[in-house]
Amino acid sequence: MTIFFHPKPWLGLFQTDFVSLLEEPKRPSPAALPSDQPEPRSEAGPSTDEPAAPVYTVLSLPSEVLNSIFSRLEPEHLSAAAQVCNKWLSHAYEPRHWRRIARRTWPGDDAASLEHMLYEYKTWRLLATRRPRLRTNAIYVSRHQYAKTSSRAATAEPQAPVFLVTYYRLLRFYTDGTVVALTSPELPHVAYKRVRRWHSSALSSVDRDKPAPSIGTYELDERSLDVRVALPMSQPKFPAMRTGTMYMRFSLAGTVSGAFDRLFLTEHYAIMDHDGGDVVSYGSHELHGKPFRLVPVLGFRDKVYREFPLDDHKDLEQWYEMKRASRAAKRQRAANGAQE
Amino acid sequence: MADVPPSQQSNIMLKLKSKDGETFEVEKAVATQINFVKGMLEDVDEVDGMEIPMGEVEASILAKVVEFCKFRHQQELNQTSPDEVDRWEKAFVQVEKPTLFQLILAANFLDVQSLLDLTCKTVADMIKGKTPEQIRAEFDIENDFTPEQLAEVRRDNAWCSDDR
Repeated sequence: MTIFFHPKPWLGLFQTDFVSLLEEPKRPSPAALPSDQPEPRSEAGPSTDEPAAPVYTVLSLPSEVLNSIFSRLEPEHLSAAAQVCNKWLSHAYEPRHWRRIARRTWPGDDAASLEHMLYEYKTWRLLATRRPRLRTNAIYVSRHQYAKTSSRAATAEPQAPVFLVTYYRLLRFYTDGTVVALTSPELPHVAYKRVRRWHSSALSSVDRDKPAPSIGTYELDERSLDVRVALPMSQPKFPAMRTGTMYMRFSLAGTVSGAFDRLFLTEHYAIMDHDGGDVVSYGSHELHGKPFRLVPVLGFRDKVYREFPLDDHKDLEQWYEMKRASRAAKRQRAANGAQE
Repeated sequence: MADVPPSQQSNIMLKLKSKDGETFEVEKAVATQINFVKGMLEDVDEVDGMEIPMGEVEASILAKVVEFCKFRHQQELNQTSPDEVDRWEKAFVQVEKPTLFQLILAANFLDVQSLLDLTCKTVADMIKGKTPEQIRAEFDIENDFTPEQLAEVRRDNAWCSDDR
C-alpha cells in the first residue's frame, strides 16, 4: 500500500519515523539488534529509543497550533500573551492576528481603507491598538452620589436623617455602533450582568423588577475624540414614566497611549416624546464629576472596586434597611387592618 | 461481532492501533472523522477488522480521541441539543494539562479539526483574563526576557494593562 505524507515538520515532536513505522510495523526495536551492528537508521530521522517519557507542556505545541490558539484571543489577552516569553511574543505579534482584530473592531471599514491606514500606523498591531476606538471587551463605569433626605424631613422633624445615595452608570459599546446603558443603585458587579444586548423581554422574572438596560446607538469622531450617545428612555418597571431619547456627549481620553479608558461627560440632555418634544437638561454636577472608567468584562467583579473603592456603601445599606423596615411596617399595618 | 452483510458500510469495523500496541475497534463511520484514517482508506480497499497504526499516539490519548469521535458521530445521528454538547465538551476537556497538550498534538497529527478546535479553545480560555505573570504560572513558562526587553514589551502593551 502506498501512503502519501505531506511534509509535517512537527512529526519530530513524536520522536519517531512514521513512514518506516507504517511500512514495516514489525521492525525490531534497536535494543534487539546485535550490538556490534551499526544502527541502520541512526542518520535518518530521530531515533525511537528515547528513554524518558517526554513532558508535554504548552511549549511543546507546534507554531501552527500556538497560532490557532492565539487566533481565538481578544486584543487584551493577546497583548498579555505577548509579555509571557520570547516565543509567545513572536507569535502574538504576528500581523495576521492583529489584522483579524482590526477587521473585527472596525467592521464598517472595508479591507482597502483599513490597509490604507497602515501607512499611518505602520503595523496591523499598532493600527489595532492605537487607533481611536471605544473598547468593547469592557464596560465604562461611573459612580454618582447625591444626598437624600428621608420623607420625615417634610414634617420638619429636627432629627430627619440624610442619606448619601450612590448609583452607577454602566455603558457597554459594541463594534456595530450599538451601546447598552444601565443606571442602577445596585453594586456594579451585580448590575453588569444585565448590560447586554438582550431585549428587556428576555430578562428573567427576577431581573424584570430591576432597572432594565436601554439599548441605543453611538458615534465616535476619531479626530476630535467626541462620542455621541443616543439612548431611548423607557423603564418597563415604571410604565407611567415619560418616554423620550437621552443624549450624552463624551470626550474620549486614555491614561496611556491606545488605552481609551476614560470618558468625560460634556453634554447630557433628553428630548421627550410628548409635550412638543421639550428638552430636559440634566445635572450639571455630573458634567464636572468623575469620568467613566473602563473595567474589563472578564474579571469585572475583581477589578471594578479597584477603580471604585467600596467605602461609602454603608449609607446605602442603611437606606435600604430603613426602606425595608418601613415596607414591613406597612404590611403589618395592612395585615392588622384586614384582621379587624 | 454478529454476521453483517458487507453491503452495510457503516458496520465495517476498523482497529486503530496505538503506539503501545493497544487496539480500539471502531465503526468505519466513526473512524473516518479522523482525517488521517480517512486519507489512508482512500488508498486501500478497506477490510473488516483492518488494523491501522496511529503513529506515536499513546493508548490513553487514542482512547480520548475515539471517545470524542464516537460522541461527534452520535451527535450527528441524534441531533443532540447544543446545551448537551456544551456540557459534554466541557467535561471532556477536564483533564490534566499534559494530557490536554498530548490531545492537541494528537488532534493535529491525526487531523481531527473539531477536536483541535475544542482543545485550542480550551487553552485560549485558560489564557483569557490573566496577567502575563498569571499566564506564566498557569503554564509553567519561564520568563526569558532581558529586563530591557521586558520594559519595552510592557510599554508596548500598556494600553491594556490593569496596573497603573
